[in-house]
This record gives sequence, C-alpha cells and structure tokens, in this order.
Amino acid sequence: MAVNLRRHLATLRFGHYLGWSIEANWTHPVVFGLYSIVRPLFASLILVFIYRIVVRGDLQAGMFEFLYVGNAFFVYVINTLSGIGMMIFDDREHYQMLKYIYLAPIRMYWYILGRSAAKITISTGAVVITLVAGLLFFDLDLSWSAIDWPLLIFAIVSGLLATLAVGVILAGIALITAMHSFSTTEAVAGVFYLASGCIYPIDILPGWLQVVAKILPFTYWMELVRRGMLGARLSPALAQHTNGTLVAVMAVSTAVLLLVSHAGFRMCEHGARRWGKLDQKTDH
Amino acid sequence: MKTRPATNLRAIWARSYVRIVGANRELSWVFFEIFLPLLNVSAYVFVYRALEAPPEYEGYVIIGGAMLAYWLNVLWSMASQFYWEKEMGNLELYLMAPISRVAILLGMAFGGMFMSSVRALAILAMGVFLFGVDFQVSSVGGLLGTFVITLVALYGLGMLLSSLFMLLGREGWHLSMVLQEPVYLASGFYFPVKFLGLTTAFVASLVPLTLGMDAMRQLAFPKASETALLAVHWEVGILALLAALFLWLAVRSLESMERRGRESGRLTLKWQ
Repeated sequence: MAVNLRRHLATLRFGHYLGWSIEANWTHPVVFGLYSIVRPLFASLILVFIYRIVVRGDLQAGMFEFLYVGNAFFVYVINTLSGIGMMIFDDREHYQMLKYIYLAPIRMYWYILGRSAAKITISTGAVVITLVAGLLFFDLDLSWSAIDWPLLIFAIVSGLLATLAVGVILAGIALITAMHSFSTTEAVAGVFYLASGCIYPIDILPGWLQVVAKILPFTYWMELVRRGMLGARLSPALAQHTNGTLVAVMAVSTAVLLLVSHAGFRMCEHGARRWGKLDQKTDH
Repeated sequence: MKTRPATNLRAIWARSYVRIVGANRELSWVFFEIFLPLLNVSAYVFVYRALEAPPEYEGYVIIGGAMLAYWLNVLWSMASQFYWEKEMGNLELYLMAPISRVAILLGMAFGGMFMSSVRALAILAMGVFLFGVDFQVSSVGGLLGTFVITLVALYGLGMLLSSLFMLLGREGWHLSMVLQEPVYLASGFYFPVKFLGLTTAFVASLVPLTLGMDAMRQLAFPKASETALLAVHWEVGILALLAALFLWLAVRSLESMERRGRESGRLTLKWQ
C-alpha cells in the first residue's frame, strides 16, 4: 500500500514536471512568465473598463471587488479544464506518446492528475499577479485584516481539488471522444464560467440557469472565496447560506468529485483501450 | 513557369472546401462552433445587466461577439494554420504542388469566413431572440458593405500573419493565445473603443475589427454615434486602405518567409 502510494506520488510529480516543461520550455522563462499572465490580466482589464469607464459603476458597494476577485480565481478553472483536451490530443495525436506512457509501469490517473496540477501551478502565478495588479492599479478594496484566512484557505484547497477532479473526468472523456476533445473541455469550462456567477451574482441569471448554478460546486466555491477574501455576500440567492453550510457543501461535493473522477477515469480508460482509441489520429 | 488562373482557382476551392464542406460533416464540431462563443457572449451580456448598463450595450456585446468569431478564426485558422500544416506534413505538399501559395491562403480565408459566419449568425440570432436586442439599422447596404470591407481587411491581416508565423514552432501557437484577450480589450469587442482613449483606439485600429465594429455599431444603433471613434465614412475609407495594405504585405511576406524557410531548412521542421 505504502509502496503503491509512493509510486503514485512519484508519477504525479513527474506528470507535473512534464506538464510544466511542455508548457514552459518553448521560450525564455521571463517571456513565459509574461505570456502566462497576459490572458488573465487582460480578461480582468476588460471587466475593469466595463465597470469603471463604460458603466462608471456606482452600484452596490463591493460589486467591483465581487467581479474582479471572481474573475481572477476562475482562471484556475478555465486554464485547467480548457487545457485538458489539448493535453490528451497532444499526447495521443500530436507527439503520439500516449501509447508509450501506457507501456510505463504507472497509473494513468496519477499521471493525468500531475499534468493537470502543472496547469494549476502556472495559473497560480496568473491569479496572484492579477490580484496584485488589482490592488496596485485598480483600487481593489481588499483589507488584509478582513480576510478570513481559515475560510479562504479551505475554499482555495477544496476548489482546486474539485477543479483537478473535473479535469481528470474530462481527460477520461477526451480519451474516448477523439475528435471532440478540445470542444468538450472548453464547453464545460464555458458553462461553468457562465453559470457559476464568477463575474456577476447568480440572481441575474434566468430561472433555469439559476437552477444549474445551484447544482455546480464552483458556484459555492466562488461564494466561499469571496466571503473569505472580502467578507461580502452580494448574491441574495446565496446570502441565506451560512459559511458552515457552504463549507459542508464544498467538502462533500469535492469528495464526491474526487471519487467520481477516479471511477469515471478508469471506466473511460477501459473504453478507450477496448475501442482502440489510445493511438487514434484524427488530425489528418 | 506561371500557373494557369484556373488551376489556382481550383486550389482556392480545394483549400476552402475542407472548411466549407469537410468541417460541417462533423456535426458535433458545428454544434460546438456555435455553442462555445455563445457562452462567453452571454456572460458579458449578464455583466452589463448586473451593472444596470443602458440596453444598447448588450447590442454592442452581441456585435462584438459575432465579430469575435472572425478574429478567433484569423488567429487559429489563418495565422497559426501553417504551423499545423507543418506538423501534419501538409505544408510540403502545398509547396510541391504547381499552384500559387496565395491561392492556398485565399482558400483558407474564404473557408474561414464561411465557418465563422455560421458562428456569427448564431450569435446575432441569440442576441435578437434570447436577449431581445433591438437592432435599428439605418442603412442595410451600408452595414453589409462595412461588414464586407472589414472582413477583406481582417483576412488580409490573417494572410499576412499566416506567412509571418510560417517559420514559428510552438511559439506561434502561444503567440496566437496571447493575441486573444489583449485584442478583445484594445479593439473594443465588448464596449465602444473610444472609451480606451484616442491614442490607444487609433493604435488598435491596425486590427481592422476595431474600426469595423465601431462603424457597424453606428449603423445598427443610433446611440452608438455618441461614443463613436470616427464617422462611418472615415472608418470605411481607412478599412479599405488597410485591406489593400495587408493583402500587398501578405504576398510579399509569403515570398520572403518561404525563401528564408527553404534556406534555413525550417519549412518541414516538426515538433519545435
């Protein structure tokens, strides 16, 4: 058992290292650093412009912080999930290495987890720099003393684990859906972005979409992150829930997602082997 | 030896066929092509609703979202296309064939315009039926003319980028990534570009969508003229100049990059 765990952790570590190298070694580290922050920073700048200059936001106090913090943290979800489809495609079709990884004495689940974790690592730099830019240049009203650190740390850890779990599930689906791997992962990330209220309170959504929002764990993740960082409860639909309720919801849904990711990935992996999808090439 | 025009026309059709017919054979691609941009555009409409912005801003987002389909197509299916062709081994086939390279670029452009138009129409339909955006078009002919000249200039830029990216490896892929959000901001995909300040707006006008969207918004929403960068006729005139400039530069650059690629042996270099 202990030997297995050590081996799995080693696989995770090497998966992370490989993921990092593939993402980063095409250029100088400084250029890579800049590249990593450009997209999230400019996505935040669009919101800053919309709020500060276009609409001249003079609305409910804390609205700017609400959307800025939500957008900054959602980078984890977008980067990780959108990158998963590409990762499977690269391994299977572009570099054609997937079959060799299967020959190695490792469990694919841990390898994928490591590759996804590399995306989390890269995204962390982008999230931190986006928040720092908000503090330095955009009057983001964050008070260190107002931060509920235990809540924030729990929110970040559980949210990242949930993101990794969803990433692995999508990787499994990408294994058996060769021609649709990018689109599926991007679509899922897009639905989460739209429905989980990362840049607006979910109350603004139409009724049926609010139902979807309340099913998604990322909605509660965003709410917990904001409560931990800002102490704010701007969404009436979620304000009724206590911090304890949200923590419980997030803990249970993360645990369920991790279990489903493990079982789901094994199922997809089995299907991919059975249907001969592991070395399928569709990019002709 | 000169290639006969008919051969080049067939090459244009052959290259665009893949995008006009081939891509639409895979129905899930068509679905995702339409569905994915709708998500992002809807999110920005909801942002404006949450911020209680005037309703015309939702219309600006819809026009921006529709044109975003073309920008993504230019980045991913024009600029970085030769990178993929190189990786898949098609580039050398194009270079060996007795056709003009420009015919390949034109085929990519026409096919890309068709593919993106499907997305753009879906976004416009969503704007009207789902979000109730009220387009008050003052001149249908003017709007269509502006749209066409914007696309010619934009795909001219795409052809230029395609030839510039020809020798790049993974950095070309990443460069396309980096050109997404900054251009969304600078070209005013989600708000009138004038709000960025005149200097930034004029620099951003090098991307034809900046002036194209500004002009189309003026023609589709009466209030847009209050926040317009320039009058429509000026914007159309500049777009025509940009179109001619980009197409000329694309042809020159393609010749130069191909020659450099042959000399340095990078035209067939994979997995860089």
